[in-house]
Amino acid sequence: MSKNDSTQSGFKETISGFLKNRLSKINFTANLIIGVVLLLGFVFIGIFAPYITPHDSEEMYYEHLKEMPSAEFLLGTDRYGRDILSRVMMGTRTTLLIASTSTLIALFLGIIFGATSAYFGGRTDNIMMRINDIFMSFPTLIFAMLVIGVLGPSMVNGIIAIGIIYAPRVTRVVRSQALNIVHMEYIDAAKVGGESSFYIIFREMLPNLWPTIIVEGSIRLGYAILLTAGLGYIGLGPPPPTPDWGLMAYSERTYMFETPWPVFAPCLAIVIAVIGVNLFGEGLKDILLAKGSRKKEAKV
Amino acid sequence: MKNENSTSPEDTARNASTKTPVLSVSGVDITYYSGAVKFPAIRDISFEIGAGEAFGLVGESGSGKSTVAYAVMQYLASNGEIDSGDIAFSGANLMKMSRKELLGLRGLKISMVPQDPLTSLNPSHRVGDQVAEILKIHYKLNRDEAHKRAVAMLGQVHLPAPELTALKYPHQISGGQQQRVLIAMAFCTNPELLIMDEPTTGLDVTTQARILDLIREMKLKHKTAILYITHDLGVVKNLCDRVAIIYAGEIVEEGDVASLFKSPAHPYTQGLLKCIPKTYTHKTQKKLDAIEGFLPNLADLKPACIFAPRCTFAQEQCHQQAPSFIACGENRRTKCYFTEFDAPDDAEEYENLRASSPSKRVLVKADRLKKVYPTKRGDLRAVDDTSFECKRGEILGIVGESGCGKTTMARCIVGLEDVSDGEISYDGNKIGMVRKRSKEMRRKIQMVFQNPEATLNPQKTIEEIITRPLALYKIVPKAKRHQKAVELLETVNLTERYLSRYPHEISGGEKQRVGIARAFATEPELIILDEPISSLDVSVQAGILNLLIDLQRKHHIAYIFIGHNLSVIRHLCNRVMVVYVGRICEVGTPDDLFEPPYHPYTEALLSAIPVVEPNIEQKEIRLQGIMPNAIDPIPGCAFHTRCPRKIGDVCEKNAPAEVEVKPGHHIACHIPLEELAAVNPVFKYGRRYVF
Amino acid sequence: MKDFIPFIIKRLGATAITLIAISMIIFGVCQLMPGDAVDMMLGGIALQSLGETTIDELRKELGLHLPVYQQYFNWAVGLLHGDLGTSYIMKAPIAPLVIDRLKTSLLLAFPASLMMIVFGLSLGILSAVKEKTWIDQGISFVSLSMLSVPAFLTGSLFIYIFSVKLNWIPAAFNALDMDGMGMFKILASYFGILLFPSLTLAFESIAYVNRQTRASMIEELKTNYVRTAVLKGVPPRDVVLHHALRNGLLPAITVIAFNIGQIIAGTVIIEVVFSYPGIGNLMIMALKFRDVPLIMATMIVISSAYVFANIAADILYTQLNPRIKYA
Repeated sequence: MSKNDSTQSGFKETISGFLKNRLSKINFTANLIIGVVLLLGFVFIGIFAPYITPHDSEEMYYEHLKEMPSAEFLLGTDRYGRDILSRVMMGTRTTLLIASTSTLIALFLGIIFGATSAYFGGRTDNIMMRINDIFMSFPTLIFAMLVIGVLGPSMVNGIIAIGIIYAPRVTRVVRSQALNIVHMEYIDAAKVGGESSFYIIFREMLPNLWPTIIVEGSIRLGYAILLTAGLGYIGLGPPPPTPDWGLMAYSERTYMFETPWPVFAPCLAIVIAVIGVNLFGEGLKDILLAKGSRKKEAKV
Repeated sequence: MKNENSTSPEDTARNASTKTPVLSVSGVDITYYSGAVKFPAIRDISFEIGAGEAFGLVGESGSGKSTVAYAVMQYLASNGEIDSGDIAFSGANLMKMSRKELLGLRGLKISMVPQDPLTSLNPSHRVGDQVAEILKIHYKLNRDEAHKRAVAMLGQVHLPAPELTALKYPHQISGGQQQRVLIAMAFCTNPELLIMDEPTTGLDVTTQARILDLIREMKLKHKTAILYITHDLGVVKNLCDRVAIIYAGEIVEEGDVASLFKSPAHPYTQGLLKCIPKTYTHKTQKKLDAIEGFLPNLADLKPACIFAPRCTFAQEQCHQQAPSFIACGENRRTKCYFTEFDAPDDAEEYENLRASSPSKRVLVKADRLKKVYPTKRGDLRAVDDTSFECKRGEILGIVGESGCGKTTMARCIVGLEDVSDGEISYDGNKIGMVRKRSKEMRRKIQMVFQNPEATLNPQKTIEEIITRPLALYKIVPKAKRHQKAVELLETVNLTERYLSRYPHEISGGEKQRVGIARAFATEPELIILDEPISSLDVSVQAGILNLLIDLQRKHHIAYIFIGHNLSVIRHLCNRVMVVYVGRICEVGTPDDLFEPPYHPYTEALLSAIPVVEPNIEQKEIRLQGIMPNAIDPIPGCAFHTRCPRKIGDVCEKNAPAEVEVKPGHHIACHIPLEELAAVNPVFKYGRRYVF
Repeated sequence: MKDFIPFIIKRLGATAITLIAISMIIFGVCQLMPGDAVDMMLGGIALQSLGETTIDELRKELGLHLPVYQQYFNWAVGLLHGDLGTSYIMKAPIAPLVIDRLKTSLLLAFPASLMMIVFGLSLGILSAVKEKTWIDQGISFVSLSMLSVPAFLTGSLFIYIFSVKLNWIPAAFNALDMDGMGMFKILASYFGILLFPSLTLAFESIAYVNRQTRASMIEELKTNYVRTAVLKGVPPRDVVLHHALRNGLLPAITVIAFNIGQIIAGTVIIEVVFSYPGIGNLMIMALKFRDVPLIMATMIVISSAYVFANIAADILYTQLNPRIKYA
């Protein structure tokens, strides 16, 4: 942004500045729109999968083993002659169910612990955060492996494991935002006004936490999908015959040399789902958490 | 230092013919772009600053004054553009300079002292290194030399133990000292032009007074031209040679300081001066004249006088066409059609402006109140064994510098903090923290907060905010709540249409009004006002002060008003407490405080007020050092470390007892009362004191 | 500096408490395992080796007759002496095995961490300096994609391209025999064999570090002190590297530490993809055969590595940040 020939380039910069502003606006909404469309698509497939799959996901077409994608089998078939597209669609349901339920559990616990801890502060906060830190010193995957490995792989155990290990992470995010709010004068005003702690936490603080929670939730959902897939890949997902993306990718990997598509088809579904969630999250972040203040920018 | 002037032939010629001003801004327009909307933030601004001259640019928030400063530095936000005009530094056009040329100019020939010293210093570098960096860049000095010069420079700005201070990090020194470091950085290359953007905003008055002294001293020593940006007319009057008043992106009046303050020409300037509570007044007081209305929307400007919508003198032509500058005296100009106004002196005059006759009954009483906060280094005694009382219907002011414990006192009374020792009683009954109080008790004490941006929950409408206490305390039946909310809004001069709005849709002053309405909703007996106007523009402050006085007279309730501005306190309060490091120095009526005998601290506070009235002479007392922290125990008088009138060991050893000057006026000082009474007053009208 | 020693001692004390809590959780969860170890052993591989030992004797031998807290105590004391217990399925002490596998895994984790730091930081700084240009948008897009791709896909793609199609690297690493190899040979074979697994491992973390660095650098470049520096006449390069980075690095360090932990944990999946004989595969095997001592041992080792990475970052953070007084 050199200021040479400012009179001449002034107009040009005005135009380019204008376009830049406009384009970045479009960009933000584009993130969100693509994200929402992908997400809705997956939710739709997840809910209606049994009615819209082109084939029965368990049906083995023995005359069509390890086939390339064709008009009949759009993504080809696996080594048992099952239609990969149908299986991927059915897998959507498993993944979305595990990922979204566990995210909701984590959000629920995180909101309650995070907001109360920040509100009461002092010793309560100290003890709660110590416990939180202990749970956070487990790598997520390791903790999930421990719980699922010991309790046995199943959808419910997966949900519990992911929900529990993500809760402390949500707690920390919610708490740090709640700490910004708890010192606001309107919270003091509510205290002076004689409101109960319950009212202050859930009626005064919580509405201001929603933007953070929604963004955090969408980020968590992306992680949860990846974690669910990863667990499936190492054999800790729901056991067969429940169709699971991670497990599909794992069990077909030995045949990757001849037929790569049974491995890459579920992977592609994961990538699209996670990109959808992430774009959605980014879009929300730009809208919900955008800072209003116009700051000086360095001319460097 | 070699003085490099531009060497192009035409410039030399110009230098020869006329004296080139250090800075010349002519016809500058600056526009900000926000999406598709254009904000012409600065329109056709011109001024010149000569060598060694201090030029003040005064405006309220949103006037664009800082934009002008950053335009001179060629450092506008990326969405800001200089559309037209010229900015020349010693004859060289800054706008045509390459980035490299600017790099050589910034910090060497043009320096800047920013607002908010803490964030303006790099938190991870030692302050000495930050000064030395400039010398390394511009003079190519080596490490040791640069450090030596930096330390010398820190000494020049009177930092204590410059060798040691140089090794400290910004967070380890006080706000005033941080600002001194920034001033040292600005002067260490002996620049020709210095731009100061509100350098004393956010500092305490006594610190501000010393920083202004320093700026004056450095200006004389280095013969630097200064562009001083501020909202504070008092500061400009005390520091600058010439001043321009900027309103909504246009300069409306310009002139030399003495004559402009004596006879302001533009209605806006007049209005601003009338908004400010007088420091030195006679016994009768007038209601303040607030400037009604708002800044115009810059995205939608009409060809008219920019100030016309808010101007009490506006005529038909003012709304039709924008006036241009006319001269109004020597070296003075005003952007107005008129220079003479028959100012109708219609301001309502109160015989006694302050609270009408407070009753004798004590409403709230603090007895040996103590509040300590445990910290890692020990207990911080925010309030240290103080006793005071507030009567029914009284306005009690608590005044002191930041960190003196005044807000903690307020929070203890309202029950947001638990007291560590001593007790607070209300109507004779002991009261504790808010959640332990009875519902009726909670209803009686309300609070108005300092920061308008944080006082209202951004997720609630004004109606939800105001009706909540009505519902909680069942002030009116459910069916009448809406009606009552409207009434409450009307008492704070807002209208029904505000009910459906969210806090971010209204201005700061309006938010404070809503906060006041919320406090009044429970029909309380006592309202704690914690610096409710300090973050507002003066023109808005005046309106809120008037409102507070009106409401107090109408409802006859008690206020405890926390503040740091003695003029405001004097305007409003019946009784004032001066607080220093958690202890009370002096209690009395405002008039007691403004006349000898003074507590030495009160005297210093008074002398640090930047006075706007012409023809007032002010004694100059400067407090050295910084306020002691309240963690290490201070034996004796809390003020002895900085007291200019310390009499000896007794001050260091024994805490002074309160001495009664006359009923209701107490001073806690070891100096005999006769000596305290014998000093010359701080203010004198129309006569000069030499000390 | 005189505050430093007590500070370190305090931190290590807190770490000890954390590790104790972690060991309790691991032990506690393992107690929830349905059935008991002896049933598993009898029903499992070790059946033949039992001989005539009765079940009761076996329980006694394993200490399973003791109350739970006693069992935990014995186990924990063993941990402190470097005794990780005896594997049920291998009938061998666990410690040497786990240490061996850990070394193999660190061969992946260490280079991955380096890549994360180097690429993550430099891309983040570049992105921030070029904010809102196509360079920034490109980097942001790539890092968002890196975050959206599961590690096993990245790994599978590498294998498919470089092993199946190009035949550059072996598809499985089962044959990799570390014991006979000297350090030099390991390094030499690095680019042939280990590059892709460690690159896969670093992928996600590079994106995290890049995004955090970008965000904090953009924030720092807008601060008042950067403005002061620019108006002092500091050249742009020094403004970024000398002023902004010094402060922008702090949040990045936290994320780096967190991701070193994630990398250590992430080896589990990478090792499965590349059939790499590290501690992750050992853990999966332990889970599959329900070998409780081995499960607990691998879990505690990986979790401790994670905890220590975070402690190291914490200490580094305090050292770099003059604003923090030692707590």
